[in-house]
Amino acid sequence: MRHWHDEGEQILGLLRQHGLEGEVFCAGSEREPVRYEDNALKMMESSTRTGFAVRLVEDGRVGFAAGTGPGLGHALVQRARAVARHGSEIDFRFPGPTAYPEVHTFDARIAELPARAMLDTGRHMIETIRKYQPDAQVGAGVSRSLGTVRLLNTSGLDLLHSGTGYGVGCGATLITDEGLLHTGESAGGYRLVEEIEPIIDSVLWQMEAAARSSTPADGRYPVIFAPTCLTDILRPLLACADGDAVDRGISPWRDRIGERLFDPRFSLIDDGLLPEGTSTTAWDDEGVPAQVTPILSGGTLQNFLTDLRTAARLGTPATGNGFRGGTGSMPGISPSNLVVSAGDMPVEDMVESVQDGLLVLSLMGAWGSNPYAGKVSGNVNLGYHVKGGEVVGRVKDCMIYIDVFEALGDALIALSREREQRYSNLFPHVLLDDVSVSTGR
Amino acid sequence: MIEDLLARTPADYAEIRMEESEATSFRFRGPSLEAVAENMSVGGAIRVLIGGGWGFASFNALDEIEERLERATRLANLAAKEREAPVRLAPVDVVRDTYTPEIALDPRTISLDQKIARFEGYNGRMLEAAEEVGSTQVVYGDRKTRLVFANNEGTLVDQTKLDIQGALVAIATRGADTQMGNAYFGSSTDYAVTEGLEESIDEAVDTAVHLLDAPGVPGGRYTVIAAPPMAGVFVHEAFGHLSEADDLMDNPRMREMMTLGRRFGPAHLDIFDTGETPGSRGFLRYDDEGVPATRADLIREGVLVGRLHSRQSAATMGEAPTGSARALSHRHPPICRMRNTQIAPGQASREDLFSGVKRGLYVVSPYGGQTDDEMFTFMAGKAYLVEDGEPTRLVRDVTLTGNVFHTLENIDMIGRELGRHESPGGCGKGDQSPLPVGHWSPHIRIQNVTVGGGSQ
Repeated sequence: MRHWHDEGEQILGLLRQHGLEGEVFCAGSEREPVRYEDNALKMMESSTRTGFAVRLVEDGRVGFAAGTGPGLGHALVQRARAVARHGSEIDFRFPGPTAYPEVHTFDARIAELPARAMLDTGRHMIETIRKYQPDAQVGAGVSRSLGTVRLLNTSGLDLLHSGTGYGVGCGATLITDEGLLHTGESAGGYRLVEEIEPIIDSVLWQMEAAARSSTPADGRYPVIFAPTCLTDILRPLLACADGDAVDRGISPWRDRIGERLFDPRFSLIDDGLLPEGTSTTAWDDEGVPAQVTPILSGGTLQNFLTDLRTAARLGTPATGNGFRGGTGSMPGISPSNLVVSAGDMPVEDMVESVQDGLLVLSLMGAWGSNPYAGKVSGNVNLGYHVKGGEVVGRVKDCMIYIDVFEALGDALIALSREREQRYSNLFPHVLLDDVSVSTGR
Repeated sequence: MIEDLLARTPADYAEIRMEESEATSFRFRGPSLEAVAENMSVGGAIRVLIGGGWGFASFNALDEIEERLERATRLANLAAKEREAPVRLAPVDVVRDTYTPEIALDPRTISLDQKIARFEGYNGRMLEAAEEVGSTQVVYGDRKTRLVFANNEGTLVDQTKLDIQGALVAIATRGADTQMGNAYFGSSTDYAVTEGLEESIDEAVDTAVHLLDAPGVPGGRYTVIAAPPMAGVFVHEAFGHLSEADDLMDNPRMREMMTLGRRFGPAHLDIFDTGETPGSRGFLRYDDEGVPATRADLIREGVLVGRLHSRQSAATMGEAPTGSARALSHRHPPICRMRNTQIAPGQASREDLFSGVKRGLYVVSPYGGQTDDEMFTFMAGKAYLVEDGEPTRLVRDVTLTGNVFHTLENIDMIGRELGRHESPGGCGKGDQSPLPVGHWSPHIRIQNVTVGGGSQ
């Protein structure tokens, strides 16, 4: 049987004909999302896509070209060769075949899922939320996808991988006299999500807890960061642990491997093999086997994340973090799944322990600060005022500001015992002390 | 060929977009040139409306087109059964046009060698400018797209679009402290915007170096004077998104809050959005429904007078389409988006803007922004403390926030001169990002802006 990605073999053949080293990355997918907005079905969609990328070496320099194909093989090789005249010098070799970890990323039920079933799931979420909150504007989304990646190179690699993806979520907006309330929850992975009720319950809780408003005065407070917003807090850490930032000398962590930077209870792991993680893979987009890489263990800096190029430049092994933003982008360093250590405090106790502070579920604009400086500043998009150990109401018009590098060192009060698996993250709740909160009051 | 397919479909409404594009991009990080890439993309999108339900299918393999039309049709039939209120489309004139903008200097005619040489020069200049500048990030991209749009009403538009954009970032480091300064460019018609950037990159270097010694600002409320690039991002985040009618049309409370005639700002405030600004990255002749992308007045004399419509949102709200239905690429259906969102120039001189400000902030260049339709935040890449009517010290880590329904009221002054600044990247909405947009603006002064900051 002929496959769309057989064209990859032809492109590799062209590279060999020209006597060039190189790789061909082929990615194809089929995706069908169902979207509901404002209580009604918005649209039903289906997309099929293919993409081919060539990375080759000519006269010791790297050239890259990509296209959506099919039938672009010759043009891609020609353009990649033209680019190679300006390309950076090659520091690495394309890897040959080796042993790869076994991972599960395919659920046959998703491939066969009828559109009707997705519509039913979407409508159920809308109707349930509206039963409890008749004034809410509810949105929902269900999507399924099927993807295939094939990676071939002149070192003899020919890897083929297929995976499924499923995502389901809903959210509700309430407009009250005090303004807008946005809530939302979702789940996803390579497997069909069968339990929809916890997603709905989470949205209902978010709305109920926000029925009242309560805003603290300007000052410094203990703040619980929920797993849903921890990515914003980790952003400076990931920027500093990026092997490329280290290689370029802009990471303030460049000379600090082995140093204790944070509280010993804090660990951060890049886990390419996390069983339910959406970034789980047997090999990265350069053909390097996926692995588990501790970035910080017991607060001590252990490893930087690398792709082939950066690994060669730093003289360390590649960590399997060479990923592409799409077939049109060259591989670059990106975390796979991220895991933060669990603590020993139940989330319930964590809330009870806060006399006057915040519980933050999502931040807005927190991606905008300079990550190497460790500062995170954002508007509390969805957060609650906690008083006397109880959630008393939603906070509004509130900015928080943290120096993450200091906070994870001296101001970490606790990590929760429970962790939540969400897409490519496995995170606890994190309670930090002394967070700067501006409300203008 | 696509018109033949459309003629045969039994759909109430059907459209096909075929897109072909070529793009060049590269990046310097520090001294090294990286990620030089040539991209070629071919693809199509089909959208059909049957019995009031939408079906959409996109594809790359052109020989799949008939199969994809069938899939879109099947999905639309399913959607029709699921949707209670049928989707309707506002009528528009049939357009048959081939449009290529007047391109002054086309980057697709410039060799890769020449493009790289130019930016290598800029990059070298930044790296040599100051001891503290240990690294840089220089990003360049151009894309030329031919887009053919046809629908079963008889519209056929064959248009060419060009997008040129980039950033030059100086990264200064001292010990564990890293600071950045930025210079931006963008155009839809002229590669010459990449010429003569020496002055802006020298300023970027200067900013990065001086930020190393700059203090943070204490959080609190400030009078903010925003320079044009920052005021542009402000109006985009603080008001523009609220004008996108697809987010309003099926939301009765939101429609109430956005009733035409509601006062949003002072009488000297005019805001509009237009595709008719050649040169801006928001320049657009036709939107992705084949509707001319003409000027839409949003706020006139402080009062809400209009919004950004697709044919569906216009029909739902009983208003006229504005040519604002835009799709990021063939992979996405069109949704309501901004083009070039502008605050019309006012009367204030520089002296007026600063006078009487005892303690405020002068925010010069943006670093990004975001909104959730109620609150907005945006970050300054460069900002000064204003004391007794004068910008005094450079300050760092300035993030501003406010409420979109109230913040326009606080614009108490608008400068005389329109700034025509273009920036790279673009606007994000849902999963469609980055879409090229423009935001031209004069200086503005805003009272009572909440600023997040660590007290130091």
